[in-house]
Amino acid sequence: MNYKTIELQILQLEESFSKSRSNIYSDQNKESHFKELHDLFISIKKSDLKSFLLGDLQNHFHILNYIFKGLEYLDNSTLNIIPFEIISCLKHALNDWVKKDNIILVTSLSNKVEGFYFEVAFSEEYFIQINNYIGALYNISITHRLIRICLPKVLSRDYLSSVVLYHELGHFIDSELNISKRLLANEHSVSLENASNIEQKFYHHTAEYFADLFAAQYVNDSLSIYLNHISNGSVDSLTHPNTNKRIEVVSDFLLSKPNDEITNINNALMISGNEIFKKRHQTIDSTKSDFKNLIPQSFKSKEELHSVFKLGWDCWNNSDTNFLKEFKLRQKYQIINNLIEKSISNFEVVQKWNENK
Amino acid sequence: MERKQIITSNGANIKPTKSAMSKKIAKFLGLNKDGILFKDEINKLISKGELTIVPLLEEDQIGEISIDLRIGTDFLAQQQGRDAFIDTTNDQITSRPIKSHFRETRRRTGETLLLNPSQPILFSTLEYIKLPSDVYGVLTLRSSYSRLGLTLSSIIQPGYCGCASIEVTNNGSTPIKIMSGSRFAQLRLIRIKRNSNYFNSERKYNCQVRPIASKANEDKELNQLKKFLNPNS
Repeated sequence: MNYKTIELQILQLEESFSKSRSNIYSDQNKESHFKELHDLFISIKKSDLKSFLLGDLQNHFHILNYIFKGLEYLDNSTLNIIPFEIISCLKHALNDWVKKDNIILVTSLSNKVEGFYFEVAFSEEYFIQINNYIGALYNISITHRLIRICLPKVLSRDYLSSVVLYHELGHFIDSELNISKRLLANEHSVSLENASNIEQKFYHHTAEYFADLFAAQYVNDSLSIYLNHISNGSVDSLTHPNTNKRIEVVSDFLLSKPNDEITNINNALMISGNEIFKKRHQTIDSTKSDFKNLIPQSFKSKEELHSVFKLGWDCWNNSDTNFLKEFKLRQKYQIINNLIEKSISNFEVVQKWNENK
Repeated sequence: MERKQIITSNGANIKPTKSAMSKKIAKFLGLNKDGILFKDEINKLISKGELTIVPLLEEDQIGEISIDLRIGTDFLAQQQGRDAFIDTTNDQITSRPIKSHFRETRRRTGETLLLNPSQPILFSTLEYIKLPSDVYGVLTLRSSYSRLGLTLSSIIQPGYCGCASIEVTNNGSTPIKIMSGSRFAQLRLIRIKRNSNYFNSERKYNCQVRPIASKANEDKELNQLKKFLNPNS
């Protein structure tokens, strides 16, 4: 690596900024994050790259990469693109766990239909390190940290599959609270960096159970139903437990049945001073819901709001016999998605209206 | 008082009876069972769950004979695309869909949108509506907006459910800025004598919550018409 590497990165980023500068974001924090990234970029551009030692070059390589990634997610989080309604539900769930106000939930849309994931890089530790470095060098700081969740572009308005996003948010909470790493250390007395294959498997499986249980707090067994549809009888892998085991753990949680995975995770949560996993949703009976009259569901609380996804799945699973039975398949799918979207947006707009009266 | 004679279509003269006269007056005043619905009737239907308008942010949206509806958050703005014209006659997978002639854009409630001269804009009302099966709706602009050179005229079928679709064009020469969430249209509700099941016929728009571009090219009769010229098609 030499200064030409950084020069090339700067030129590529310049292109990226020229495309992103006209973005209109869904909230103020994203706009200010964009501005801070741009200020940092301008400072780097003005610096004398030829005078940099290898360490500085490497640091700048990482920082420019950080800016690149930030822009990628900001570009996909404009008001026109971001799946606004599901993000508003995730924000409520996030607020239950993380009280910091310097976090922004951003999404990127993938062209892959299986492209649901949480991007783990750039932890809080990394964020602090970058801020310390740029603070000393350029007298600049980045205020907001991004939670970066990727979802398939084609499914950005599919509210049945979007329950996966609760699971992905669970991964962020896990990394934030350090639960799976803590359990790995307790069980195998080893850190993730030095873990063997079996130990890594333990860590990854624990992280998956954590994310599944996190989601189940809000969306009941909706994620299990979806997993069942897409897993095609999967078996244990290094990164994921088999689907049947995952479904069983969630089922035990919802039925309050004893289960080692749940006990271990809850103990770790408790020891680290957090609340344990519990049902944070209020189930709505689909046969008595507003949906059966083809109107959006009204909610009295956030707990009911999260249940809209379970309600949607219940309506879909029984759509051959329930109020949707006379509709064509495509209509059933559209109706459920439309009703979920409008139920969420009605809840949000009424709340904001009442707050600003 | 002398009753006026009514001349029927076959030329016969009949004198209206007293009850026919009072029905006509009642209808004129909206006091009959069919005809335009008044505030108290609208509220009664809502409280019985037979009419849905959600969210109803303010009670005073329901006026004496109409309901104010607000601008939603999603818009479709017509734009000149690659093709020179919008083809409403073709629904083949290889032809460009009508929606490709529209640009989708979103606003947060409280944000603004420009209505440029001569550019058709489609959007949905903020309110989701479900009408009783014996009531249809007439959608017009609030007069404050008609006075700006905007036009809108639309009918909502009995039993319809979804956000009302608004297609508006600025006929003036000056762009007009509008705000998402503001009261824009008026809905008058008219009761009819018979029930009508909205879903009796196959509908193109089901519980829609966002504006949807025209589906004129999905009309099934188009294929039948094409066979007039080419029976083997």
